[in-house]
Amino acid sequence: LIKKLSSTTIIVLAIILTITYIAASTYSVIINVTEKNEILEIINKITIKDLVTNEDGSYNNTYYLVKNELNISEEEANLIMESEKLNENLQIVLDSIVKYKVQNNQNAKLSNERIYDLILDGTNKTENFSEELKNKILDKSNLYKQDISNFLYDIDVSLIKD
Amino acid sequence: MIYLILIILVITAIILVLSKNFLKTIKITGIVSGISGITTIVLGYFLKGIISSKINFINLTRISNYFLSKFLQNAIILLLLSLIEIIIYILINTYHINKENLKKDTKGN
Repeated sequence: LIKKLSSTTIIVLAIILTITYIAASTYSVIINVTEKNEILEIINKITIKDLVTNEDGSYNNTYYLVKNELNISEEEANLIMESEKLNENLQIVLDSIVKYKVQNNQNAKLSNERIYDLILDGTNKTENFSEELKNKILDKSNLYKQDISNFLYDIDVSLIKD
Repeated sequence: MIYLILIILVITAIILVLSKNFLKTIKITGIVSGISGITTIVLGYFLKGIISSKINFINLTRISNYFLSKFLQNAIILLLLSLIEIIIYILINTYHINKENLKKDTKGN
């Protein structure tokens, strides 16, 4: 009877140990996330890739539209998405859209010229872009330059309510 | 976190005392950490699903993948721990079996 009781206790303890292991691993994730503020950094920084991917990580229609319009390969599309300078300049445009649409700050609206300059600056400062790719981006940007500001500030932006 | 680690150590010690067998204890903790590792992976994917259905941010993929990667990191640690314990168990067990066989052979001769 003592042996049977001891075996049952060991099984119960093993189950408690499993639960404790899972609790410890989950708790360490919570500590990691809350201490490092990395989630806030991710939320606050929207990249080009975020704009062209669906929730499941697959590319959306915008990706294929831009890819076909620029007539570029998948590798070139990846270079554009990973360009640090273009992603940095995207933050300026997104900040401006939020200020204009959410905070009603009319002065925050960027002109067509300013947006084109940001694309030009981002493209020219990305070292791993080939001359051909740079020309493709700048040619198409120049083509749509007159509509770009209106298009961007027509995007529906709203606050997430609590 | 320290309390959770203490609980793990205390439970392992109690199992060792109750079983009175180091090999059995290492086998049990190996299996337990293996199950915990697999459950952590399942939990990570489950949480990813919950985040994806509850939050609607444009950069949702990166947020849910971030959580999943943290869970996977912990799961890998638990699975490695399990693997090490099971390897130690197999090695010690094989050593004991060989030793006993050698004893039997010597007695037989």
